[in-house]
Amino acid sequence: MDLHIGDLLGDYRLEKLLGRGATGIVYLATQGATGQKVAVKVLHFDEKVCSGAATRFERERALLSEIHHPNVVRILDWAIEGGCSFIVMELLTGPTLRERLTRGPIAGPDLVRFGSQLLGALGAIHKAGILHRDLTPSNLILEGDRLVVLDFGLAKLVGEQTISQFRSLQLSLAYAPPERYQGLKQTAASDIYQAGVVLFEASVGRHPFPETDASKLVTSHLFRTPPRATSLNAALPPFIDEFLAKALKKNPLERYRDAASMEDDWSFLFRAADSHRG
Amino acid sequence: MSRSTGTVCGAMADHRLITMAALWIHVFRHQRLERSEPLTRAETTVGTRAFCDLVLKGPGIEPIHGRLVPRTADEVEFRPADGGPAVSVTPRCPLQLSDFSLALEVRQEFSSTPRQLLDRVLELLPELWAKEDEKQIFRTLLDTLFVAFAAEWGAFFTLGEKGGEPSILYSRGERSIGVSDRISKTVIGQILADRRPVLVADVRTDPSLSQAHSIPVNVRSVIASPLLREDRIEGIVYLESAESRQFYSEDERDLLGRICNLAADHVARARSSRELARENERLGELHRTQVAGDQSLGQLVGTSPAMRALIAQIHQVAATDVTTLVLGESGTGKELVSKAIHHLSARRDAPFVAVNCMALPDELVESELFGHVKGAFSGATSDHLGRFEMAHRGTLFLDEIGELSLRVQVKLLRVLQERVIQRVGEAKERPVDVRLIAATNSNLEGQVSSGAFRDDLFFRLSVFPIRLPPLRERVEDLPVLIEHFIQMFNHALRRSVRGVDDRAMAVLTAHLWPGNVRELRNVIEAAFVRETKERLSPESLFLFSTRKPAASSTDTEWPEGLEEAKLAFEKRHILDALEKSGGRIQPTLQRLRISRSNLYKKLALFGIDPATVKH
Repeated sequence: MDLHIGDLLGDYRLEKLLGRGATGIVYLATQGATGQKVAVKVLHFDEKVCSGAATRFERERALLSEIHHPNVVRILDWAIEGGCSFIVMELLTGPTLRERLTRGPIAGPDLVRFGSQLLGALGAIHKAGILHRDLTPSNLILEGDRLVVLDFGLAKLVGEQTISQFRSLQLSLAYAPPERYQGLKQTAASDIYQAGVVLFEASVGRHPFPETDASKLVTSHLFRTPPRATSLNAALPPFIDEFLAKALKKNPLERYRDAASMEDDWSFLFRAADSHRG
Repeated sequence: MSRSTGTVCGAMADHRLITMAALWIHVFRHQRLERSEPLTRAETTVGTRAFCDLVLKGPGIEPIHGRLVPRTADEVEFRPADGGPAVSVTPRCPLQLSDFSLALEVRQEFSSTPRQLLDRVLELLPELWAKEDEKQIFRTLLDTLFVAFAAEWGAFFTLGEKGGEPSILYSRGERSIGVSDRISKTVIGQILADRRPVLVADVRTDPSLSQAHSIPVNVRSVIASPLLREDRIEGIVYLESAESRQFYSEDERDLLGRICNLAADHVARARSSRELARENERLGELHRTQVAGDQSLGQLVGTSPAMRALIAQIHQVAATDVTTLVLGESGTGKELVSKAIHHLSARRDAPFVAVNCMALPDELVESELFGHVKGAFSGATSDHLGRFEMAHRGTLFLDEIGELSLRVQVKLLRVLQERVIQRVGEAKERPVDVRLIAATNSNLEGQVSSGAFRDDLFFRLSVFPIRLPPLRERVEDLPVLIEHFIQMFNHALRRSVRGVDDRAMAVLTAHLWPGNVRELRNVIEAAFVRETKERLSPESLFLFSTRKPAASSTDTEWPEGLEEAKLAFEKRHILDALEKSGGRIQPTLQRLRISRSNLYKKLALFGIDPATVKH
């Protein structure tokens, strides 16, 4: 199905191509009735490759609509039509965390807020019975002071249909928890691990395992202990190493039980550091 | 054990051989037991925060209050986080932290008394004597010792030909991935050097293992013993006890050593009687040895850096469950490597199923891989189980993956993504749990850019690529390999060839080996047939020219012997047909008017890699 600028999708008129991502094409659109600007994401299903994807998409979409959290992207509307599915989302204009990190680590109150919002969103997602499965800096948008989590479970649904497949494979390798390489089931603890990697990267400014070679990345996630964050960035609060170590345990059962207890420790780290200074 | 051992146990309580000592911490608050936990880590953090290993929530406890560090078998040290003096904690002297009292207990758990252990060994002997086959003897031995010594993980190691790297023949029990490899390597190394049983009472304090400290350790104690016969190591029994569970003692080490001596004697007896029996069935041996390729890593012969790197990679990838792509010219041992990965992986007890995509005509591939139901197409007279289903819980090896048609590639991609298959002619989806290892000798990336191979499938497959070095890149392995094959054919053909002479070695070294190890093997095998002297001479070597065939047959010097000349002509002719077909299989088949499987056999025999035969 070919789409063009100016086409009408239901009540939404496509105005501008915003980007082609690993999970589909995103357009800027205006809702006819209200004039509200929205983002419309178009996902193509190749039924030859992933039959049943549409059904699963529908199931997850229904769950997603249940989530109302300020740090989870708001789904406004959706449709499946002619092998394509459309998701209408709130329009976000901020940079991704990946873009932001090119300017170095996040520091001070920004870092505290960022982590708490991320873990709060993760808690809400888990409470709705969904795993994110692909928590990476490219899927986090910094909308001013507000962090927004995107693309849960959807990346897995569309069956990697883009030109940048190799890159997206590499990227997801860099954030994949050890259990993924052991053929074990992914659980909420897998998202906890990914959140650990993201928080490491946000605090230090680099990935805990900066290898680019796929097989080295696999071995690092499976066997290597990540470096101590405080040895790479001395400005970080004490105990952040213990915090990250707990989130990045190789054994899923040894990680934080849930996002809430992780968030509790996260905000403690910075309170403790403040009172220490004060 | 059915008999009553009550009184025996009491009488022998002081001489118990196997003790399981574990340190436990009991947490009391206002004299009430809150919980009990084993101290399994080298260091246990204590504090209010969830990131601590032992979480104590209460007034007066700091976020990280301190660390508990085991010192000896019955003492733990508490090191306060504020830098205060360390406090010793023993079973008699609990630790007070605000409202909490932490009491240490050394749990003595007895798995067997010596009487029970001896009973087990006595039970084992008749079963061992009944076994004739070495591998069965080894397996029975390991099974019994594993249980008798209450090991967490146990393995039987064998040495490759000519004292090569020890490799695991069998293993028992659970072992966390990759964790304690270095310990077993150190222990095995010690046995190879001293030829005596080894005890590591506590891996955390053993000086010879100090290097292993940098890796997480899930092992407490190790005993291991060689099976010795006339100073030759037949194999090694290796037993590990679980972390913080059980300490092995010198007594147990000695007992293990004596049991292994008995077993080694039996292996020797079984072997000599088997060799007698073999006198009677000498004919046909040659053919059988060709097939008897053992799956273990021991078959990968060579000590060159390229080979060592390869073996390290195999270990690495075997510890994971990722899809693996094996790249290498024909004859480099792609199937051998895949089998080694399978046998080192957690899937080792499930089937290894190999499919050669080139040997299958396109129209059959689908039903061969995915199976079909009765009536799916004319000729489908019954249900047929596909290779994917055969390999359930195991490993599926797809050789020559580049030969798959685009249609089949789509189906394969779907299986990899969805982990379900559909038999041909059936709508039902059947879940399969298969680790895929794909292999190719052609330039798959080139096929991707030309559109003959789906890029998304390629990326799926190449998560962990392993490249096998061609023989010409590791000529330093030639002498070892030649020796290996000479030993092999000496054994199979009851000959006593002593090696190759200097002139022959020069010829072999100069050869480019387009057919790699397989070609080398065929050349040595053929030389055995022709050579009558003790050492193989150049006259017995029949090497196919690696240069392109001459322009006309009159230019060619055919070998004198009729059989050799026939072979040489056949190779020339096939090369010719391949070249005219641009290296593609289908047109070559039409030219030669032979079957696909026949052509494939010939290519293997002559060591021709169709991918290298192009205009």
